[in-house]
Amino acid sequence: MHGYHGRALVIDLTAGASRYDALDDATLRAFVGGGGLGSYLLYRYCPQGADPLGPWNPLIFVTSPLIGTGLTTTSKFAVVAKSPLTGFIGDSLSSSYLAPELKKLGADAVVILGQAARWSVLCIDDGAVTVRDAAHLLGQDTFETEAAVKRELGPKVRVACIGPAGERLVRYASIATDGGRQAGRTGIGAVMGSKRLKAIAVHGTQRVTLAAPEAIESYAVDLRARSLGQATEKYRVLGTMANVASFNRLGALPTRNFQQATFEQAAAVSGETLHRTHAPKDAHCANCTIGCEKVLTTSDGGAKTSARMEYESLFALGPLCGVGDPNVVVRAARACDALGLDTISTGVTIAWAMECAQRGLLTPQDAGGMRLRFGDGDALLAAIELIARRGEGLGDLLAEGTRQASARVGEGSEAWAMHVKGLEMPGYEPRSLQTMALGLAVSTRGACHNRSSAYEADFSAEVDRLRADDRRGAIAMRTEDFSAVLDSMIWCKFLRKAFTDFWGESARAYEMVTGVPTAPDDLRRAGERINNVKKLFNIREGWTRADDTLPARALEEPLRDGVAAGVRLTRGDLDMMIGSYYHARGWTEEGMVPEGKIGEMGLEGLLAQPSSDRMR
Amino acid sequence: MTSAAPAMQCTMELFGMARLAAGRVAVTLAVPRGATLADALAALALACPTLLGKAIAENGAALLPGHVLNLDGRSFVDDLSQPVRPGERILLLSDQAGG
Ligand code: SF4
Repeated sequence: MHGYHGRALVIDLTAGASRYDALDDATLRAFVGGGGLGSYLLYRYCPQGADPLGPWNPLIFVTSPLIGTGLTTTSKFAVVAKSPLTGFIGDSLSSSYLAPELKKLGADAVVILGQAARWSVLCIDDGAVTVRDAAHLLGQDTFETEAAVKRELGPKVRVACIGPAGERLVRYASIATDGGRQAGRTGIGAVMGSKRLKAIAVHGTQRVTLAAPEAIESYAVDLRARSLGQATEKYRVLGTMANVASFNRLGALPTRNFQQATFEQAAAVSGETLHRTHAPKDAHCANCTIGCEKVLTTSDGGAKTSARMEYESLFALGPLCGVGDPNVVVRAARACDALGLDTISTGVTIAWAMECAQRGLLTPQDAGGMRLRFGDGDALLAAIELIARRGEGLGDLLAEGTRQASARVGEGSEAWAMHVKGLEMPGYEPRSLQTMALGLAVSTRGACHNRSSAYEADFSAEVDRLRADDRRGAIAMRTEDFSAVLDSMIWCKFLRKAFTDFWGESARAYEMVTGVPTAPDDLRRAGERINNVKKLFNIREGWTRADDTLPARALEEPLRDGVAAGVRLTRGDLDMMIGSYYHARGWTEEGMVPEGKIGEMGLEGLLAQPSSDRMR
Repeated sequence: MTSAAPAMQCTMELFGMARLAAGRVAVTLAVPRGATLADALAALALACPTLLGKAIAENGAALLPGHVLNLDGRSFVDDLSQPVRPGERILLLSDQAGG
């Protein structure tokens, strides 16, 4: 089949060996690539019950069929592992020049098992795998590490690396590429750290063939033109920072650890204001015409620093921590990128600690002298450093994430630990976005805005966003299946409004690349199959219906401010929506995947796979 | 709707690209009683012509792709023939496609 190499490169760091495992055409068609293929490979290579930070949790880098086609926004890869935050499926996408380099390795995925004997740089040059000592890189931040590896191995290599947070197994450590781009969510940087890999350097020369290169080229020209149209202008000019002002007005901007849904200083950190006050520089991921990335530079008298800024980092390190000084947010985001920390989990965990301090549960004595107060920028910056280095006491506590930290502190603090399944909440207030509330509760990777775009319904006339009803299950399923295909092809989410017919165009693109006749319904079914395999992985790892829920705060407290003041989302409302979601998916009332559905999705073979595929 | 209809006020709040294009956060408009959202949009285009081709179609009667309307911060609307209520605050937002 065109467009794929038809194999995975499997590396066992413990044995110091590597091999290729075949990926047959049917499997590749069934799971497409990226997050979908990665979910399949995780099920296949992760032994049941594997310790997420133990050697046999596979760290899997996955490419996609669209990489290298010249289609805009497609230089993306997925990293998949069992998450040290959730104990369920963990995956993260990133865009960078690493993606085309990975694809030229001669494999569709790199599966890394075992643990290196000492801190190492894993070098993959086409199929040749070597390991270099990384002792001299320890403690270096992600920017320094990438630069050092390139100095040592030459400018042609592309590098993925971890910072000090990944070295210390902070449960929400990220993997960085291309000068600070992060594969941020679910703690995959800690998985890389558990393998004693400080960096991975890749270089490849093997290209796949394309079934219809000329047709792809002409489609690429057309799509590029559409990517520069009205539908993406907000992203090109303001980036996702534009969300701050509108979410605030809609009572959907999580503030002070979700105690409020509006922020009195929202104007100061809104995209519209920052466009004027900070003149952000545009930045693009590899091979992207949209360029939604905005690089902000501090504008105060302090040391100058810059950071890529997008809505999630801005909300988590700004309003959620009560911080309204954009320069502090820039410094905090830069620190997270350098130290290798997911900005969302970092902000949410610190906001939880700030509320603990507000309620007298964390005193300056507990916090090594630090006064954690909402709005205190110095405390925010100090806490980030402390977490990344697992500083004694507070740093070590917060490095575990909100679920584990709140379990240790107790005293009711679990109620305001804002996570689902252990993954910290993104910047969408569930009580005023009740379709999204369902999406967050049922997402297989925990509180996630990317694997479910259920908020799209809330920001439209399709639903009343302030009330629950039993139509939401079908909507959440639709948006999850759509996202699964988007994340497997892989297209950037911000391109989606530029398609005139997403399913038709994606099917045609897949056919032009692979030569396999593909109908829109084939991809719809692939989306459904991918979400079923993710769910089957979680069930295998101990998932029960009780895991599909929201933090107590979201279910017990009404909103206190903004246009949605007084609005509630009750446990009954959420249960009703979850029931409608399981029904739409054809799952049992307890959310299990029945035999019939497994057969319908063609997943029996996966469940019956020999355990030898898992190496241990 | 006739030109003799008594006027009422509504306010358009601008977000995202619309705010940038207009250089204003909000615009208070006088529209005749019985006016529709499409009429309010046309009045907004007259008050802020820089929105034409940016958020509002050149004919002044429709939103451009990537923009949506919301009433009083609560409900989103896609039917521009809906009547405007006196004192209503109409939000003109850039479409949300995540972040
Ligand atoms: S639109 Fe933004 S996130 Fe998407 S590929 Fe382009 S720069 Fe990257």
